[in-house]
Amino acid sequence: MTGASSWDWALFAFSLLAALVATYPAVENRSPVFVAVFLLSRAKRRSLPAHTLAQELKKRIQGHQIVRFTAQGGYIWKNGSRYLSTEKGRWIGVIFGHLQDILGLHGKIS
Amino acid sequence: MVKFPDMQADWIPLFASFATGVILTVFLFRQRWVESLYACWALGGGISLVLYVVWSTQVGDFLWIRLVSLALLLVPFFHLLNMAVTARRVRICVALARHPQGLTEAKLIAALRLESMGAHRIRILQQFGQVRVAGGKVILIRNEFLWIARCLNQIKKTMGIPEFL
Repeated sequence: MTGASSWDWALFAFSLLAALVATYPAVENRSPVFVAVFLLSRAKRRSLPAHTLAQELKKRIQGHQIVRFTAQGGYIWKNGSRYLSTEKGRWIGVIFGHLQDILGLHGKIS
Repeated sequence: MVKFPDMQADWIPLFASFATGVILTVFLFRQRWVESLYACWALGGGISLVLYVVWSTQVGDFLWIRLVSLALLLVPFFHLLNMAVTARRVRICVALARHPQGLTEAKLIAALRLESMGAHRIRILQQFGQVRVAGGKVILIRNEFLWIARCLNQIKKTMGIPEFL
């Protein structure tokens, strides 16, 4: 690539590394959209009642399991009946909370 | 020893295009014209790449390596957005950051908003024309997403990661 400077190669190396680091969790992700597509493709006449599909999707995501994994990852800890943030979890919460605000998502507890 | 020359003004098309792509993606997602974050990013990122090609060609400084770098830089940017929007652990951390006095497990599960997840995914599939909703039934009418899902499943299988289903 003629005309490319050392900065160009440095930026290329950085962006390649960043893209590779970001790709693994993306492949690991169990996207509910694709799960829904699979469920529909395997259903009779490729159709399911909307509430059944929603239930099937919900069934695959166990809320209490996610809370437990989050605690195991060291992001939160249990104090009596309540969960509290660890230092790591608080930073993630603050940073992504701002990002959610920028994106117009308001992470209120429903 | 690699010597780095001073960065010059000819970098402006690259960084300005990236910034435009970022701002455009966020703007499109905030407007909610398109439900899917992925589609907003694809539009924002696509326009960013086109902008770089047009701009740098006009100033006579187009470089393939910069175009590839720009495309690669858009990947971690999408990952950050995706984490903010969909990652469940992040939702739990955000809920606790907003309630420093702590929350019960039931409240944390409520913060995951699992109830609305199904309806939202059906709306995304509808916007991509993949499904038709008639009489309370969701019908798969196209195969593009199914092909992508099968490809991803194959990659998951090769990498030893649990598959979608």
